[in-house]
Amino acid sequence: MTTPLEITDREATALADLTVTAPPSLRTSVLVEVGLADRYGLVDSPLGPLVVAWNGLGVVSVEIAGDDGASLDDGIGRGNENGERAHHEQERKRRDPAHRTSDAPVF
Amino acid sequence: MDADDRLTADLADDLDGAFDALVVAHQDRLYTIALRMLGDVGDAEEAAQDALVRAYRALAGYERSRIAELRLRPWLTTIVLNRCRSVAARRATRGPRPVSIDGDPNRPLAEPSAPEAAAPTEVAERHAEGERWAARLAALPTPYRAAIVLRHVDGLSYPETAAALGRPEGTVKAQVHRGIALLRTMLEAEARREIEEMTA
Repeated sequence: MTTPLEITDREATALADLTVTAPPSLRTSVLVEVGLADRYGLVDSPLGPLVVAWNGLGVVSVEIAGDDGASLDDGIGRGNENGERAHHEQERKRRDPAHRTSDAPVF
Repeated sequence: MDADDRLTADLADDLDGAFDALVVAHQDRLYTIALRMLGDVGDAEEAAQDALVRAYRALAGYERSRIAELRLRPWLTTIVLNRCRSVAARRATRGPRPVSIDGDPNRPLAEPSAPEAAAPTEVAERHAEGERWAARLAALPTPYRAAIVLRHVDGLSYPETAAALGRPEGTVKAQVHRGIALLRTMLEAEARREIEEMTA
């Protein structure tokens, strides 16, 4: 079996310094893709502007954005500046049959 | 009990509640591995994201006992290396990425920052030195590069590196040995070139 060359301090430091920080978008993209966070956006419709939230599992909710912006405040006000919001609790309840009512839409 | 042991226990109890913590704990190292294997920030982000999504889906199908026994670091590393192979294979068929006019697409977006007190010239030199080492690493044959990235950039132990690569430990040690020897050959060649340029 080959004995690895003794790495010098300079080499060890140089190689260890090649670590980088992941872009901030990575975490959000992963959580959205697996359904643990949503992205949202405003979509024009014949009924008026709609607030649409979606993730990797599909569309999570569609709500009419009120003139007074109430839906925006209620629905996406907790989101970040990129139009994303984490919703672990809501998502878990949505997936858990025990938390679904018979008339609750499941997208 | 180390941080990963606690994390696997939490994941076994409540996957959805603990998965964000797994992402936070491992995203930088998975992204680093992907970047050093692929050499492109876009490809690296794609491979790291894909690896974490696949890890979640795999965990969702595992029994609690299986999750609790997982060794997260080598397990996640194996997944990201597999994704790197897929991304590299797709890149080989699609050709090089289009060149952006907004910036250098190969330049890592978030290199580690130098201490705040460092002088601008020191920061620049440190950055340039990092880029030279990244280029040397990228020039290594893939098996040597993978072994060195896992062992000396990510800091896995030899048994963890061997487990992640699916190779015997002796083979991994030999690949690290040859990789380091090649890096030194490159350093010596660069030093010779510098001397020749100065004396020309």
